[in-house]
Amino acid sequence: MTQSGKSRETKQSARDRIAEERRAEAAAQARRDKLFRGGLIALVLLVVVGIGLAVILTRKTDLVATGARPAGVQADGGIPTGTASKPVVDLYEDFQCPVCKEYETAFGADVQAAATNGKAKVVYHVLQFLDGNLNNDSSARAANASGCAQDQGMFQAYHSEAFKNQPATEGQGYTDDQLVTFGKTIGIPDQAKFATCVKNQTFKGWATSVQAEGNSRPVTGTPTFFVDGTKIDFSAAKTLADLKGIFLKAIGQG
Amino acid sequence: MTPATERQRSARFDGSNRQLWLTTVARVALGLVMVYAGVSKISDPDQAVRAVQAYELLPRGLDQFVGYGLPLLEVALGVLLILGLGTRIVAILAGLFMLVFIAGVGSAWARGLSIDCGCFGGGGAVGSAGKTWRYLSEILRDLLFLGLASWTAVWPASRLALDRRGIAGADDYGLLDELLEDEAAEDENRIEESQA
Repeated sequence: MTQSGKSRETKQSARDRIAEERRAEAAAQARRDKLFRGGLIALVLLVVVGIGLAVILTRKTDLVATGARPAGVQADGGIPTGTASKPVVDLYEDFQCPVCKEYETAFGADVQAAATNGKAKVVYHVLQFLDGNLNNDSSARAANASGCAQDQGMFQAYHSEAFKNQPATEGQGYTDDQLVTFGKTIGIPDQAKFATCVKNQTFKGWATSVQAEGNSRPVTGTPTFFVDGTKIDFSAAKTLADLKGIFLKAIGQG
Repeated sequence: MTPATERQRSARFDGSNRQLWLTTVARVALGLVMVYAGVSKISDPDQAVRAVQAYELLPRGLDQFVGYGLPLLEVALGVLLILGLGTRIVAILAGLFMLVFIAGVGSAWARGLSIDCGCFGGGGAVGSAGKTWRYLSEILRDLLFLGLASWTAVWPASRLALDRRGIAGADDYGLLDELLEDEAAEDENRIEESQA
């Protein structure tokens, strides 16, 4: 197969021309692709952020404190116990928190004794943040119920009883009947008033304000103890039995 | 004409089918993890803010911003990874996220805090039992994710991705030159045929 020089030249220029056209077309296509892809990315971002923000705004809790407060609670919502004025022990707990129950079992009696014997002013703050984790409203109801007990002067006994009977499975939650029964067990004077207070969540707004105060401190987990504003560091404890010593030392009784 | 085996390979594409599928698996796995992690935080925003506060790294005010904003970014990056959109830049961002997470957990560990990382929802202060193993496993897990992100960033070309030619940007993978060469070869044949 022989070819003349002219035909070879024509063939070469045709080749170049087609290649050039293809290159230009490909570059234009690449530009369109890039624009399209940028648009798609922007669309994905918009959709995700839009849906996400909507979910966040509907699910986040706006803590507005309104309504009745139990007798004898502090301005910040805390429940003061004991006769001493210092040191001030601020104790943040959630009735559904298993570690709080462990701490309560290990040295809860010593905390109460410190208040009763005038060694410290112990202020209880009953939180409800675990409701969000566990998808129930049991911590809020238990906090309200402890407020109902406080209203009749029996917070400490109620606190112990509730932790003693904490539902074995985390997330199961306290029932209203259980919360009323605890009141009976510890002998709250006006049973009918207490039961109504528990069921109607009379102190719901107060309990909410306690959580809001905890958030603003901020308390990020429970149990958390502060002595005159300084957080007690329990990290040195090897066993639950070590906790009591650390607490007593922190309030100057160790 | 250069034989296919001698074509210059793009840095984004090592040329093997195996690499394309490995990147596909890496980016989809990482994307699913990030979407899951983000969604579990978004579903409990108050807890997400508490988890951020527990690191004791950010001033008040910023913690809320990060607690709400970070999971949104996580989900967005995750979705883009799953779709295979803007794969390289998204993989680099995801890798930076992992570095920040590792640094955060490492600093909490070093300062003796006892917290849950809040990586997949939850978070906040927790008991100190099993602390070393918890921090270590969180960091190892993030290192694994960092590995996936790095692989994807180095070789972003993959199968089943919206980035690919047909919808978008083959030029980004250096595939365009190869396609042009293939088409030039076809033209060559056609010219030969027409002149025969």
